[in-house]
Amino acid sequence: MDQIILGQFKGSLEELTEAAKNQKIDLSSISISDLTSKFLRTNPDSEELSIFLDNASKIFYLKSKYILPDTSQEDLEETTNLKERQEEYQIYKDFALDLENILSLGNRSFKREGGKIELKTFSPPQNINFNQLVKIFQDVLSKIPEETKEEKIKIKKITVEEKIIFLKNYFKDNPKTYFSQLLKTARSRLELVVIFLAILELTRQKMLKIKQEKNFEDFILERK
Amino acid sequence: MKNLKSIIESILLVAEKPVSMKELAQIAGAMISQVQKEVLALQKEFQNRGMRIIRKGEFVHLVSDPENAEYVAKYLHEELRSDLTQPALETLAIIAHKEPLTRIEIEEIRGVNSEQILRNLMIRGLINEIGRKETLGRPILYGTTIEFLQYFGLEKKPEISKPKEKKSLFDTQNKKE
Repeated sequence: MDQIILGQFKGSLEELTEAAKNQKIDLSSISISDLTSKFLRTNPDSEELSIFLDNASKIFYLKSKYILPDTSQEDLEETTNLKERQEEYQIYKDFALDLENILSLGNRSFKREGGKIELKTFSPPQNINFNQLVKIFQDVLSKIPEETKEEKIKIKKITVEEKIIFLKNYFKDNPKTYFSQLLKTARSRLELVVIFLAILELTRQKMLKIKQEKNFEDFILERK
Repeated sequence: MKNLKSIIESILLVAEKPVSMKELAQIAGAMISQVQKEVLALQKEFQNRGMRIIRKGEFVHLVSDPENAEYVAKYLHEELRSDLTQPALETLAIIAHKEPLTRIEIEEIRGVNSEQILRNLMIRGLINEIGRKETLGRPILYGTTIEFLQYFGLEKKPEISKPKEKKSLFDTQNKKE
């Protein structure tokens, strides 16, 4: 791999590296994978290989630097930004200190306070007795409108556990039954689902066996 | 019309909370600009008296002379010492200078979350929600209240000092000393 021809460039690998370093060649036009495959076809010995690696890695480094955006300018902006913000913050810190000084003088203004009615003791009208007070209290209570009780819709909860017990008992009497038969015992959609889950659970516990004679036919459930 | 200044003084005397100059104008049947003029005149007259008129935006409030705080506090059995923390003062300083502004804007300056502090300052009545910023999310805008002036014994909002002439801030305050 003596000569490399790359666009206008013509020279050895070392010269290419030098050119890349001095920005005499467009870095994006150098394809390292291309160079590598060409180089490998020359059956290099170990020394040639090390020279190639040295140069290729240098070019690779230059290329990666070329691709990455230049961050030095941004960093600078960020520092000045931070400095400005610190300065601004310092102004407020000083201002806060001023406020604190004002407070420490204890020179506070007070506004008119009013409208506070303080009832310190219970002062019922004279000539009132206990029974009258009870009656008044009851009158007040009777004036409170009765709360209308909202009717609650009761939802009977059906748990899978309950259904498992039900199914176990069921299969004691009927060792073999149809799936559709079981579903007929359900009174609601929810119960249907719970029965189905209970069947699955019993099958998982290997207490039930599910069979089907033909596609799309009713399942036959058998106790094991 | 009767003496407008005297009417304003009477209303402020009985008012338990800040009164807007618009309301004063309506009650007295006068122009707002006239009310403003008379309020200024009253403020001047009160300089040698035991009361002050503090003003924040459209609102005015008759309060006691901060110089007499010690005695008034004694009468009211109130504590003069302040328990505002440093972060609370800092936040208050930012709001006092830049109001109206949003929580995010405050946090940008302080660099830390300020939600709790804002809540505390609001509970104490030193700041208030004074509107919404017409931007994405319509965030709440905060500003200081007339109670803030009262609490600090100031007649109007304090000005921030330029870093170099820091000592000259609150000149009026210091001269009285």
